[in-house]
Amino acid sequence: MTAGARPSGARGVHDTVGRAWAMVRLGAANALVFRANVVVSMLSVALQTVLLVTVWRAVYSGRHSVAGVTGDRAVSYAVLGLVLGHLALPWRLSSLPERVREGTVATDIIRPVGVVGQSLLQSIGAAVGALPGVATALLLGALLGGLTMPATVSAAFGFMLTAALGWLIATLLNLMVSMVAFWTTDTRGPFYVYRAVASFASGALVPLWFMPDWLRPTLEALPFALQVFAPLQLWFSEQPLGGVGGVVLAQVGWLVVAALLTALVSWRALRTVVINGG
Amino acid sequence: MIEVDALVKEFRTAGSVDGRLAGLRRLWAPSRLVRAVDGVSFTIQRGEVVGYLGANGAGKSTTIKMLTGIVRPTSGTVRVNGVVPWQNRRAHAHNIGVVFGQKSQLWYDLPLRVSLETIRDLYRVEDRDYRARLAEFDEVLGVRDFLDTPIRSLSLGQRMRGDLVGAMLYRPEVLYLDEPTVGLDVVAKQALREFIAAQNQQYGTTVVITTHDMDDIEQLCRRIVMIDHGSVVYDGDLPVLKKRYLPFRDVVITPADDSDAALIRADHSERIEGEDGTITLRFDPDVTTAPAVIAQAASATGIDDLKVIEPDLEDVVRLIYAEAGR
Amino acid sequence: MVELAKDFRTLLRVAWLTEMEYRANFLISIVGALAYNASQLLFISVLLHAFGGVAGWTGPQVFVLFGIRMASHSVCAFFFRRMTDLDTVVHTGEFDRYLLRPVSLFLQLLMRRFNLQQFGDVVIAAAVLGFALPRAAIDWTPAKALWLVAAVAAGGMLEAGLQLVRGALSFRWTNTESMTGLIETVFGTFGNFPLQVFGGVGAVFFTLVLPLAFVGWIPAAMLLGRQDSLWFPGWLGWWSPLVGVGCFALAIVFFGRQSRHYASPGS
Repeated sequence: MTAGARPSGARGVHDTVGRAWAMVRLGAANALVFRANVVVSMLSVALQTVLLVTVWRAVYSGRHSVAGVTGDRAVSYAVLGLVLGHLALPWRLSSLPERVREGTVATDIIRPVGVVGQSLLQSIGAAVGALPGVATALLLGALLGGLTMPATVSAAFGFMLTAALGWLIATLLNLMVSMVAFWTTDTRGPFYVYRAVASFASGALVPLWFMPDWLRPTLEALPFALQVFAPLQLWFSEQPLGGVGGVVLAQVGWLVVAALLTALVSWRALRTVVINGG
Repeated sequence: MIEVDALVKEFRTAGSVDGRLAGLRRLWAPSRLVRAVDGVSFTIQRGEVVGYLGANGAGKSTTIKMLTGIVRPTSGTVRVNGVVPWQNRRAHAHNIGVVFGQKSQLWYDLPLRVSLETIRDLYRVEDRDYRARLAEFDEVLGVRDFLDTPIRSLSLGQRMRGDLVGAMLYRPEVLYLDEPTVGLDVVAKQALREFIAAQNQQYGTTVVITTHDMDDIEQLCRRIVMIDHGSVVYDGDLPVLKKRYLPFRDVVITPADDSDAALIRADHSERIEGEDGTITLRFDPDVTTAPAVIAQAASATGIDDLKVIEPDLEDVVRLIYAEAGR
Repeated sequence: MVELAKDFRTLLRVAWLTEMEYRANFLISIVGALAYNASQLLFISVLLHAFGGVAGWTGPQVFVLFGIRMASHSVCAFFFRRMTDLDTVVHTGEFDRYLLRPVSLFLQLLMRRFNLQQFGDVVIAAAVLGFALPRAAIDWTPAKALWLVAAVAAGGMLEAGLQLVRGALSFRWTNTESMTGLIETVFGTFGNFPLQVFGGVGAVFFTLVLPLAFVGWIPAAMLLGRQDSLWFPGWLGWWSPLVGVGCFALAIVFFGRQSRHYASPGS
């Protein structure tokens, strides 16, 4: 770590960076430690990529464009949407429910980084752990000829920026939702609701292009569309919300809202914390 | 009752990797073979109470898991009442009761009563017997007060008592206890020991107990099997074990006056001066006796206080573990 | 068999009482199941709304397929939901307890909890079938109706069998969580398509390797008279329910065999 070479005046910063780095590594290690799991998740992503490309090609067979969207674009979208969805909505929403169930959250509260901070850093780690899957999907998508590149550099740049911000919104919301673990032991129900709404409304399953006209405005008003659909529109050089600036502005707004909500919920949660098994 | 022959258990664990990108490199690190139990053999007769001892990681729990049929050995055989646990699991299940100190075998969310009734039904215990046994167990363990409390809300002591009742409800021939008293208060420990001793005496229940509490062993067991690094290092009587490792006894004397200390001595005993002014006379009970040592020491000078110290099992165990290189 | 029934009754009582302890979670779980299935329903609806039909099948025909797959899934969820718990049971050491009791291991896993919250799946499946079947121009005979029931039950057993096999791998592998996700995603997302969309190789793959065909595509094709979409002789399709039952039986045997490798956690 390069932070080690700092002068002693930066000691506090160094410690904080060190701790944060440790949390990120913990998250990545948790994801990577089970080698079978990594292999399976790569296979799973690979299989899904192939299937998605095939399905969309088949659905389009004989048609050039539907709802103003060409087949090539729909296929590209499907692969990229899979990748973004894979990152934004991981199988494990956050490490929090597990730690509440096992009672280790009690020690987390004492640790200096804070429960929310730790969970977020571990999510970053988990995203790093998901990168092999992402690489697999992109590679396969490209091999199958199902990946069109952004037309301009600025489109690519806009996509990267907004995708990152979208991931941050998703991770904050994931964390907020996973805090229901503080109130109920069986988290499956609420998680399913959230997962269903998020994956549908974000456009990870079906691009919002194909939504009926009465549904689309509602979906675009939700923060989920900013996680997958809006970044991908920029990739394809569409101009949602007046371009990159508009999307980023909306994302920052939602980030603030999500952060406030997360802070509120975690404040309530930690006040009523029930440690299991103690 | 329990025949164990050349029992071996090997585990495969992921090789450990340190340093940069350890998590990633672990993906193709070779796995390592660990031998947790390495050729353990012993035979336990009906009605024996045996303490199965060993340091943490010595292979105790793995052995117990093989005896109870939870884990299959890599090689070797186990017969409990003539049944090989993993070949005839159900017949074996009726023969044994198991209590794990760390993990309840009961239904976590439900009242103790429901758990006990379920065990009654699963083991096909007649309701008449069930009532009689519950009443009998209640006398020693006092479980009636919390029969309607969910297991998750019980204190550790209550939970252990509940688990013990659950394990003995169908009158198994063998009772396995894996660290049953860990974390219990003195009263709960005593109730548990009384109950185990009573079951052993009245019904000839064979008991195998692992524990780190030497009082459990001293009060319950006549025989010790000690294991280290997966092999048996001692199998025999408790007194013989003590004699082998701590053959001496100590008489500790506090002299009335410091100046008299020099006069305190006895034949056939080693004289050790304590830093607090006490004199310890260490002797071999085969050569001389405590009364002889005391009489000789007391004849020379005034004595304020006097203690005879028996070898402590804990010291014995510490010695053995230390010998084994821990 | 009588003994098994007695054990079943005993374990059913405990499962039911446990479920009652979690009453608060009950409603939200139903809503959860509803929402999850509704999202798949929306997915299919949106697709059909935009494209009309898929791979030569009309909208109503695809809806029948979807309904049959949902019904199979709800059979799996309602009766065999606990199969997905196996890795948890193994990793927490709960399996110790199963091995110590004189009761079938499979029965103990099956009855681990009561499955009332899966009611949401049943409701959705019934609604979709109720909507789709009358619109799909099927010439009904009593035999066909009975066959549909058998096919749906067998489809549920097939999915349960796959989940059980997946769970049984956790006796040897440390973590199989992502495979649960794989099975749910593949079944939930791609099981809803007439499988000829994946081409000849894909259709064979989903019949012989990952037997997705048996939970929707084959039953729907038989019922709708679309045997032309299948890659094998149409009459074989009538025997397809046997595959689900067979897979489930094999899965139980596999589970029993793998349980020998159980290495109880902790010391």
